[in-house]
Amino acid sequence: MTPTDHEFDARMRALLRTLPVDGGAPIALPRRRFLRAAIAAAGGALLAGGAGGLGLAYAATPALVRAAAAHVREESGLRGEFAPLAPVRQALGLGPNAPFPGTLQLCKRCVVAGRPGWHVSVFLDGLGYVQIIALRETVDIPAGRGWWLGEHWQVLAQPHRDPLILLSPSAAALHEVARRLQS
Amino acid sequence: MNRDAKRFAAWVKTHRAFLTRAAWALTGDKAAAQDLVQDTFVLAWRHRAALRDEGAVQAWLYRILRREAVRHWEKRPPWDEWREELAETAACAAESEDLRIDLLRALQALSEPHREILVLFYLSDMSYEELANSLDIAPGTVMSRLNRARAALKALLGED
Repeated sequence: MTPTDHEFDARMRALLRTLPVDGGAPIALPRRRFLRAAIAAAGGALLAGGAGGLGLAYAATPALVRAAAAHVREESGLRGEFAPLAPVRQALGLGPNAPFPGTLQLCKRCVVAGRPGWHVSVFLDGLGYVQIIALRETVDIPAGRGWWLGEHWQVLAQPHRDPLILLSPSAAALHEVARRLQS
Repeated sequence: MNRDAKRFAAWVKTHRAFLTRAAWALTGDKAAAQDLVQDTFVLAWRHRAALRDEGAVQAWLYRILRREAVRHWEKRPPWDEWREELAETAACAAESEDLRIDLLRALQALSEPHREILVLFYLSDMSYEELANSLDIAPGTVMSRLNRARAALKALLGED
């Protein structure tokens, strides 16, 4: 190793070691996650009025939807356009000049459970926010809908198009965005 | 908080920044890095009984991160798409960040073994033996691979 290498290493080390790392959300222990999930599922079952539904919210929510919910929670405060809109419109099944299904709040690339996609957030007046995860590859996830940890979710899986995962605390907002995307 | 939970909290506090920077440098994507680190800690908690030497926790966590990063890499879109995103990132970055952006971009253009050894070498304080252990290579390979990786990085940064 030459003195030049030492100097180069020192500069590279300094650059990498000062990459800005924010605190981020606290890491939740899996046991606590499970506890929260169980409480949420119990709450959902009670709201649905069926004791038989206890635990079904957890069991029926696909793992990819749960990963998407965790991802959008981490980016909940993020706003802005960080990706070109044309491919995102295409992934959402919208025409080149078609409006988004609400006021665009966020558009960025993301990786959910190791799968590349786009995270799009839209706002609907009087209804609230809807988060859309548009996956960029075909995955084995059936169309469906449900409720998970305070979020309503819906998977729009259509032939010849990669699936969309919609999440919102508002069922009405979710329904409206799903309608606009499917119309 | 029981003993295991306290131990886990200490791992997070001590190693989160290292793992996030390593994952960021490996993937070139901060959001993906944060996901990888989250997954790494969840796996570490699940398999905490497998760690026998508390002094080797950083290398152990890195090996978990590495496996997850490989999975991420396999799912990653072609480089051209990511170059476009990095270019956008660079355009938005403050001028003082240019060097760091150049470095992240150059790391993504390296081969995976070269990128990995440089990231670990620069971000951790591991000995060559610990590097070899973390990367599953022979100790004698560390120095030669490091030299080749450094030369490749210098070439990409125009410093050769």
